[in-house]
Amino acid sequence: MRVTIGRRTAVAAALAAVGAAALTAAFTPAWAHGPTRQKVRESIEINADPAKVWAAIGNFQDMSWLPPVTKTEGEKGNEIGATRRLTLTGGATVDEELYKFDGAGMTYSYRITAVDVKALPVTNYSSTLTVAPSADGKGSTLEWAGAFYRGFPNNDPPPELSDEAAVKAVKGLYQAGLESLKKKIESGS
Amino acid sequence: MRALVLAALAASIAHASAEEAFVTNQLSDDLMVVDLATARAVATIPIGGKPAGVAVSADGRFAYVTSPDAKAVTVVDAATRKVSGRIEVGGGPLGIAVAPDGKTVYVADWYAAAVRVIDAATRSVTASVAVGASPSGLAVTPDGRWLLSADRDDDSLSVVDTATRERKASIKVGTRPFGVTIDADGKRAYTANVGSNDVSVIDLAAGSEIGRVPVGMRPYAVALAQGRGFVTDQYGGTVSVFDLATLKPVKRITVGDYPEGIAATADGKRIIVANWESNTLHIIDATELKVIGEVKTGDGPRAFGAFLRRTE
Repeated sequence: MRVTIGRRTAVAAALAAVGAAALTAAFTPAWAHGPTRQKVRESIEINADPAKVWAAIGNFQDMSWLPPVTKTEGEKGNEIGATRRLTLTGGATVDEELYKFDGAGMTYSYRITAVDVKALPVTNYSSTLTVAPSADGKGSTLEWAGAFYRGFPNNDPPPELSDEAAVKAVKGLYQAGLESLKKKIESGS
Repeated sequence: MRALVLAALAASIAHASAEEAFVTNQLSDDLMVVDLATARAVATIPIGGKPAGVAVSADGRFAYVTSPDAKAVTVVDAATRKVSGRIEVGGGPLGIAVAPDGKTVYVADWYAAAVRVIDAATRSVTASVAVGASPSGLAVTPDGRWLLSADRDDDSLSVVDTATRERKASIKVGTRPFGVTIDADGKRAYTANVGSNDVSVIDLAAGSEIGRVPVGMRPYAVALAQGRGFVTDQYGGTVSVFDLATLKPVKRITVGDYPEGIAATADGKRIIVANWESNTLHIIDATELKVIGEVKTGDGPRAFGAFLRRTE
């Protein structure tokens, strides 16, 4: 009986010790992430030719079409591995890298390499923009799809860095961005 | 003539129907069972807690599913498709593997540098093994002697003696290894290195990495069949194929978006891939190297682990 109790205590102590070690080890900013990747997929119909929509978003070095972006600075144009730094209203920055680009297919994918979770509560974020002819053939459909983990990389996140907070932030950003772009293109500006 | 054709059809279906896929749909919180012969979903079992990892016992009796948000492992009776137990393990259970004899289940705690050891009979945690940081994929050698743990944030592979439950070695591999797969002979292991976009080839007897194969972006896991390795490239949207003898790339097969869990059927003829973003399961002909079937899944299929079950 005493043996059993002793062993149990030892296991419990070992569990507690590794738990404590993990708390410090888990905060490796760029790589650590929660257990569940989230997805957001938003799209909008735009009353314009796909080529025209593509012309508005197809330059990786210009994200001025997204409302909170005040400045885009980057290197290597639309080449795979091209980088850009977005400056947002208020001064926060987001660093991104292009990893897929298909001009003929009117689609590209990029990932965030550095962002403060206070600006956007996500980690390991990647996203894809795609322009396609709309179902009725008269205009375009612009789709924005994202894949990311919540801002808090460890267990039991605070509410502002939870899975739900991450999805809400990205969904809001995509909807605002798509609406803004639709207005801009359809008004001809 | 007609009878012959029918007989042949029946034979081929009977042959192929000997296997099922147990797919964790993380965002829809369930486990779905897909009959691979007919490429149809035959059951959906609610799990909860954002299921990710899955391991089917070699005898096909149980599927063990990790739910990191619930900090638990769910035991599913594979034949009746019913939940038959739940084991509270704490932490962030992710990777999971069952010993070949079915008596022990190993669970990686993503947040702690530890693997929990579960006794399959009593369904309780009986020990904990210290490994490297962020253990992800787990695999047990065919003889049951060694447990391998891909320790993602240590860029290494832990080798654990299953008898003493102690780490015997830590082998340096590429950057951020996630999935780990052992060959049928128990001689080599392969890790998919998310950070360096390659696969490490490890000689288990020598205890060292003997090669590195470049693959697509953000590789997740590796399957082995027909003398080739098949690797899911999450960001690439492809399965990279390489030759196991020469370690040279052979082809990249376009699949769905964010392919993750991957496994070879027991006969080595098919490769099954879960596409997390597309919500599909793709069936690849392992000889022709092309997609020959697609099955709709729930939301966010991950199928991380040994997710195929032989039914005869």
